[in-house]
Order: sequence, then C-alpha cells, then structure tokens
Amino acid sequence: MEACLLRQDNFKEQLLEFIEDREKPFDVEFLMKHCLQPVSDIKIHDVLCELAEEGKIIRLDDRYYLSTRVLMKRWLKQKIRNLEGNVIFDEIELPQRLIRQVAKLIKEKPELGYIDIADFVRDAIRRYLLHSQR
Amino acid sequence: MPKTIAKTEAEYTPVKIPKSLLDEVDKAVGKFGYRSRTEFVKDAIRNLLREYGMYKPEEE
Repeated sequence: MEACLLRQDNFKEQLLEFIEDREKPFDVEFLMKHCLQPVSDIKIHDVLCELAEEGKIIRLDDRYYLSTRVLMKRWLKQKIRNLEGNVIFDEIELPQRLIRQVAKLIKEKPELGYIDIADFVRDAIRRYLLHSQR
Repeated sequence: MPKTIAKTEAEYTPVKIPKSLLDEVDKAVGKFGYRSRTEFVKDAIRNLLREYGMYKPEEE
C-alpha cells in the first residue's frame, strides 16, 4: 500500500483506492508524498473534502482523515466480538494513574479508533500476548 | 485499617475483560515470570502506550 503512487488522471478514484483500506489516518502531506506527479495540496484537500461529503472518508480533526470502510470494519469487529456467543467477562483491577494515561490517549488520538478504556486494554493484552509468543 | 482499604480501592479501577482473554493471560503469567495477571496487563498497557508515544512513567 505504501508503495502505491498517485497519478494526475483519475486522481479521485486513485486516491480513494489508495486510502480505502489504509488502517492509519492520513493527511494532505502524506498523500502529497505518495503522488507520482506533482499535485498541489489544494487539489488533494479539495478531493478529500469531496470524499468526505460522499461519506467515503471521515474527517477526524483539522488535519487527519480516515477511510470510512476502515472505521466501519473496526466498529463491526468490535460489535461482533461483543455479540459472539455468550462472552463471559471478568474484571481486573488496574491502577488509576495508568488508566488516566489510557484515557488521555483515547481523547487525544481518536484516529486510533479505540471506543473506550476496556477496548484499549483488550488490544494491549492481545498485542502483548502475540509479542510474548514471538 | 478501613481507611487504608478505602484508599487502595480508590486508586484502582475495574476494567472488564473477556474471560477467555484473561485465561490466555494466566497461561502467559507463569511462562514469562510475572507475579500476577495484573502485572502482565499493566506491562501490556505500558507497552502499547509507549508504542503510541504516550507513556509517561513519572505519571504512574
């Protein structure tokens, strides 16, 4: 995905194809770096606005955007996970000071897509388990 | 004594985790030398916060 470069012709379609499955948020600067031919930041910005109006991408803040498809996939994954046959939950006590750092991250980086503290903690555990098994 | 307990409770927050995931944590705890599942989870959180450049040990 990173190696894919954009061309001037069919710019909007190519841009959408480029970012549609991109897991990380992107901004105009990032897209400019991946253009095969020079494209102005204004043109990229205009196309992003069009895509946002069409609901194909979501504007996260003044700078970053994220593909609607990626966001929906995350949301669905979470919903499915919650609905998966009779999930039994257990509680774990965690220090508030550490939890406050998690809350801060979720607030400051909505583009990461964490819906709440438990969502972050579950992701952290899964990643750490994977990391430990390597 | 009750005061101490109240203070301790106030400093901790319960977080709901699927039991199946905690079962995996329990298996990893002994294997990787952790004292408890809480210690493992705390390290997991620190690790991910660090990855996002948001971990501040001094605030812990």
